[in-house]
Amino acid sequence: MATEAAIGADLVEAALEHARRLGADQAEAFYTESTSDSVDYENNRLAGIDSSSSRGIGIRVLAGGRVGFSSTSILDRVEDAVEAALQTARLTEVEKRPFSLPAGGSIDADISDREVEAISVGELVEMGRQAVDRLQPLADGLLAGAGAGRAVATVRIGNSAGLRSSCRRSSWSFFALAQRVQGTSVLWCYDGGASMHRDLDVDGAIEGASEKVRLSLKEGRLETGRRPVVFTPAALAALLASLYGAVSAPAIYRKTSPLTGRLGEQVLSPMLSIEDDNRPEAGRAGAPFDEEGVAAFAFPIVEHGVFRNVVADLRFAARLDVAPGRGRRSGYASAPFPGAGNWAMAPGTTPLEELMSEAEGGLLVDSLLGMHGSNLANGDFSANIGLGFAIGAGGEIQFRVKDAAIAGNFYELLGDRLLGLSAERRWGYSGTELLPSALCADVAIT
Amino acid sequence: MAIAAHPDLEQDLARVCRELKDRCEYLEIRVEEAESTDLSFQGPDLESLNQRQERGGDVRALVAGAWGFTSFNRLDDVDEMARAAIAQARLVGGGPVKLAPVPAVADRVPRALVVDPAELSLDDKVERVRAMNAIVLAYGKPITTSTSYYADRRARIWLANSEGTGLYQERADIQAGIAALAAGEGRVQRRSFSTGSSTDASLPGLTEEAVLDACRQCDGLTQAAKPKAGEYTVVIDPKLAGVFAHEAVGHLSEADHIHENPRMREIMTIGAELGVPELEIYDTGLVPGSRGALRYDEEGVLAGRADLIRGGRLVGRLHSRETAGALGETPTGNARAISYRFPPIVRMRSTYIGPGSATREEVFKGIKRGLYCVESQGGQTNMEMFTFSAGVAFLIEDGEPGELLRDVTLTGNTFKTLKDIEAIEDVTTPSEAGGGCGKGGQAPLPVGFGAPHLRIREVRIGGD
Repeated sequence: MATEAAIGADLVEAALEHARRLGADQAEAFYTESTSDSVDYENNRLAGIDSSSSRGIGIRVLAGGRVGFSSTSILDRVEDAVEAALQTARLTEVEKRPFSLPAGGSIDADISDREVEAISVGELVEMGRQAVDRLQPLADGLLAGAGAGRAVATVRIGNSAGLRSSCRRSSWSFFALAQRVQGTSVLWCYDGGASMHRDLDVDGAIEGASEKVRLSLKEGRLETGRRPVVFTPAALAALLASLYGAVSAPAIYRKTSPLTGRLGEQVLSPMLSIEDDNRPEAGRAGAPFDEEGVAAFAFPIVEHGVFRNVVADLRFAARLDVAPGRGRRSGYASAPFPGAGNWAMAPGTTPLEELMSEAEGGLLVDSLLGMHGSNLANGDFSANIGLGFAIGAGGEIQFRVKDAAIAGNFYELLGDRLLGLSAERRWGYSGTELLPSALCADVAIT
Repeated sequence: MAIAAHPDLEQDLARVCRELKDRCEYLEIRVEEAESTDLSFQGPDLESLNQRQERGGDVRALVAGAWGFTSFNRLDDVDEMARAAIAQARLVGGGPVKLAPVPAVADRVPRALVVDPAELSLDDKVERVRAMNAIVLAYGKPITTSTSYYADRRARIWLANSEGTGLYQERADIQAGIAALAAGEGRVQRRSFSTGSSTDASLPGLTEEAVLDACRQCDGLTQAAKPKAGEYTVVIDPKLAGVFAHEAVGHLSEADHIHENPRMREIMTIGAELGVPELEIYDTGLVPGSRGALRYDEEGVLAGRADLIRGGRLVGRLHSRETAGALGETPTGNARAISYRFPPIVRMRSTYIGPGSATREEVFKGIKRGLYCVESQGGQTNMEMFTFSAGVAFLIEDGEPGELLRDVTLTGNTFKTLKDIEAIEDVTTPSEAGGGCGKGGQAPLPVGFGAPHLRIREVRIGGD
């Protein structure tokens, strides 16, 4: 609605004007408004429908070389928030490497997919119902769940250097979940995705969760030892948490990343290449500009195992003398921080079927539990296998492996121990990672 | 900064509830206003300092046993959003929800603060943390850097429902933490300490000694070895035991996991023998100053003590009005939401393991070779299985904790582990940590912990 857009634009101007009057050297206002609807199925039934409308503004100021930030959802008090931001900027450190808010490249974009916007609550309800109807009969005592949601958000950024950008975008997501408790054993099978466009494969996600259930009907145990492991794209996404942390500018700047000082060095297997792309066409984390107003672009993070680029926002780009463009926020109430765009890992050349047969006697791992307790700074991890399968002759899946854990180091696993990547890739559940499956040798299973 | 309340707010909410009462079985409206401050140090630098103000509300409507929920942050929208919630509940098309009856309440609960965060200036908050942060930086080698944070939030919450409840509550939550980082032998080691309170912004738990302890342990970790993978007899300290009670038993006791899940219902049958006879676990809103302290929950139910395990047997569970209605039990005041953006769901408050009968010495006595695991660096459960990372661990030889070990991850089956408890210390130590609990996309929710030392046999320790 035009009036809504005008409200947002007016608030941004009012905030910038007030900051100027109060003596801020630079100021930036970040306004968002969004509406969303989601449906939630739990335990075989529709548990509820949730609608939300949200708006608010975040204000960042630079005064005397110091950064301050404040936010509010009380939109008739934007001036209070500007004052609060300046108050905080009295106390923070003077930036040793000052940065300037971007002046050029104002963009007004509407990349919202009308087909996504048109998804009705009734349709979301129907998608979830399909999941439940198809999953529930697969096994006795199986509890099916699903979630489907659609959101439309407008972001507006203005700054004292003259930038005025806005973007309206849609997104939606769907997942299907089957859960079964037997004795003291619990099975969770999950599949789903998220996208800005209508292309999300609801039927495929339901089938994916169903297939995991079918494969899990037979259970068994594996003896402790070192075995080959195939990580599905979903499990690989969980492992990549290590790398997200390691290539993030704050970890490099503070030397808490194992990749500190290693730009240009071989840090992972030569088979491994990852590109970060935050343009709209590259995945759900895409937009014409990042959340500091820098135009979107693609760059390699790892090229044939060589560490190429650090993920940085304006502030850390200045500190490390690297390129900005990965400023992120978690809503209007969040100051910018460095955050990756969409990650695409280059596929391998081996068909998945072949990778599986190479892993005979090993494990197919689809989900890991407890990764966040691992020492991500070093890449060491130890986690329970949430959903994993024993691989037999010819890559045949034999049974679901119960009560097993896995341990290792990310850089070893995707370094010397990486034997191959599948030619097939798929999107991770978040819609921001396009990944193959990975075969690793000699993984410790306990 | 104080935000003036909408002068007619209480009357407005009551009016909307009255007007729409006949169109639904139940309607509730919450409005929340909050101010918060957070700051963080990275090394010696105050890296961020943010102040927030927020105002918003939500409506939950029940029609033919099904829920609709809307949230918003323009108070003028409350009528429209209430109607939308009812329309959605209709769209769900019927459900099994039957709320357990509770008395309507009309009450005002002002905050009872020892030190109000609003009384402290921004400078006070910054300097308090700077002083603790400086201790880490002054420690010297091998500690190379630090991170420290402080966060507070003061909220005013109005609740009105179609049964006549009109409730106004003030709440506060304050937390702070420090972490020491050390580089050694190509690895980065990190140890942290955090604390929190619902009443005292001076955070008396944040002491120099606690910070120094974290530094010493971080120092030690740079030289420490990993344990050999395998099964060990393990002693877990009150902090780790508290997290275990929360993650492994508390979440299983949340009745929303149980009421529509026949298998879980079978395992979690009242009277089932889940642990050793000495085991007692409860969840309470009554610990003064705890981050889990609560007078009324988000549904206006008084938040008392809920016994979960007594004499090793399951004696109760945690309820909202919905889950209590479904199971024919009594609401326990455990319906909580992190903010007006979310509907209340069954959550813990402060979860405690009661004291046993062993002295501290007896807990360790007779362990030939085991592990003493101290504090938690996070954990995860999926009902049956748990994984926890200890902050640090010490190798126990002949009953004496000695060599420091790093990267100790405990995994196991919850039900087996509760029966493998061999000794429970005779005193429960409360612990209040920063961060909070996550569930159903709602995180972090402030909660409290408390436990004695526990000795457990046959715990699986991960490793290479």
